[in-house]
Amino acid sequence: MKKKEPSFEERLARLQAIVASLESGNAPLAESVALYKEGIAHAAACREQIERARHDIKVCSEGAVTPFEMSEEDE
Amino acid sequence: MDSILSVRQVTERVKQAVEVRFPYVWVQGEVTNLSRPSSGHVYFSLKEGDCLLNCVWFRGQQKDEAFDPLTGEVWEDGPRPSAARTMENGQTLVCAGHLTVYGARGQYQMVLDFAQAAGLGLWHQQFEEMKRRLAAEGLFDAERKRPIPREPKRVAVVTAPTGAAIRDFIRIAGERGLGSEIRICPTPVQGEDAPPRIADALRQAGNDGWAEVIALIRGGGSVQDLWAFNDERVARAVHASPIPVLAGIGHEIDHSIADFTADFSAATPSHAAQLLWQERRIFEQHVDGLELALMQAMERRLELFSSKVEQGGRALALLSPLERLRMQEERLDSLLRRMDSSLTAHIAQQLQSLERLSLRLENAGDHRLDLLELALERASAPVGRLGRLVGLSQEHELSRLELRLRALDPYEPLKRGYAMALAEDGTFLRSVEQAAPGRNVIVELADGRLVTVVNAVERKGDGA
Repeated sequence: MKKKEPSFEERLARLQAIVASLESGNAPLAESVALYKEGIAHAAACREQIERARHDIKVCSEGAVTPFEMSEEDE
Repeated sequence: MDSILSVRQVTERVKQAVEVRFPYVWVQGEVTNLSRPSSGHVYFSLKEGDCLLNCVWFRGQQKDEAFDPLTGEVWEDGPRPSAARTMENGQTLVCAGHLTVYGARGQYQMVLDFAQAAGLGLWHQQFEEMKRRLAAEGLFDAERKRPIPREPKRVAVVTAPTGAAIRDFIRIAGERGLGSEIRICPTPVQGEDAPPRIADALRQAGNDGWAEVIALIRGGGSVQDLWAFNDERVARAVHASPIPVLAGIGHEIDHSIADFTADFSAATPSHAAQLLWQERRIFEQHVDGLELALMQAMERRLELFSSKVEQGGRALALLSPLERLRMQEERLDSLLRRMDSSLTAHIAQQLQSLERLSLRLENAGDHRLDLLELALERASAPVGRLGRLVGLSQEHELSRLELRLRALDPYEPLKRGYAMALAEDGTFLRSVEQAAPGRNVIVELADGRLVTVVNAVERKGDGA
């Protein structure tokens, strides 16, 4: 889990922290620019994550988890 | 006569009594005598056994519903037609409205605001009975209800793997959330087999520790179709679940026992998915808002920096190499000027001393010359005198003597206007004493002589 890219929530939290520190802190210019870049990157990544977001749907039957395929038949 | 009422009076009083007593009622009954005249108003009666309630549903109150007024579920597939258009004779309806009296026909009637099909019949009693029993046991207690997690990452769905319920759930879920894992625990949802299988699936999903929440869903159907969800075994399994259970069971009937037992009851499978996950645009809006805040914060930060740079620049301009160069130039100029003027002064001083020296030199020369000249003069004086003595010619001496002689000639001054006075005897008169009035005096002038007579004698210092 840890080696994967940060989750949307983690990115959002980081973005929030960055905004807060830019708004209130006294970071030097280089650091501010770095924070800003990081924030913009998080925002873009968040959008991409929203764009890419798909649910992973499986069937769990008798202990076995298998991919779910939607049946066309109606009840 | 006071006790005798007019028809209007009695009608008014009944009307008032009815309207005050029944300002708003919910009534369930079977539709009969349905009539839809061209006015658009709908007239019918609700029947139960040998009782009848006349109803009118005015056109203005007949609205297609965008959401379920009983549950608040927003219908994903758009507004649903009003029951005024779909109702049929024989159908059981739950109606809401107020009672009033229609004086013209001496009838009381119900004026509808809203109606919804009800599927309750015989089953109702059993249902109510079990509901009371389980409620008494505390299965429905509000205090034990747990919050349904928002944006769960792992959701177990207990339902039939085919059919509208799972399809709707997945469709709605697909437009929402940020990507979760959904595990479907397939069970039959109707028939004899359904209740124990559903209860088993609930236990399994709850106990394996994987899911954050269980969604128990089932599409709409008749009361009989949905009876598995009114089964006590299901209700107990829901109640025993260690994780929250969200029920989403058909929207066409009143709540099932499972709904009452669940931690939260959604109206339909779609509604359950709506409750679990937010629309993606909400996240986008959140990201947009944060990004905007980020940009604004950065802009303010940059403004701060650039104002600092500006201040620094102004300060630096005073310390810049260019400025220093200019100052050095200025110093150089002033030094040059000073040097120039001191050089000039020096030269002038030198010139002056040169002049002084040359003057001294000159003076010294002159002095010596003077001395020499003086010596020369001293030496030459005796020589001159000697020369004069020796060298003066007789002629020179003669002319000098002649000149001296001429200067002594008494007639010479007469040319310059002087006169000489002579007595008659030709002697020069030197004093007034030598003349007397009446005597002749000869006045000798340059070009001749005047013989004059003395009129008076005036001595110097006399009377005049």
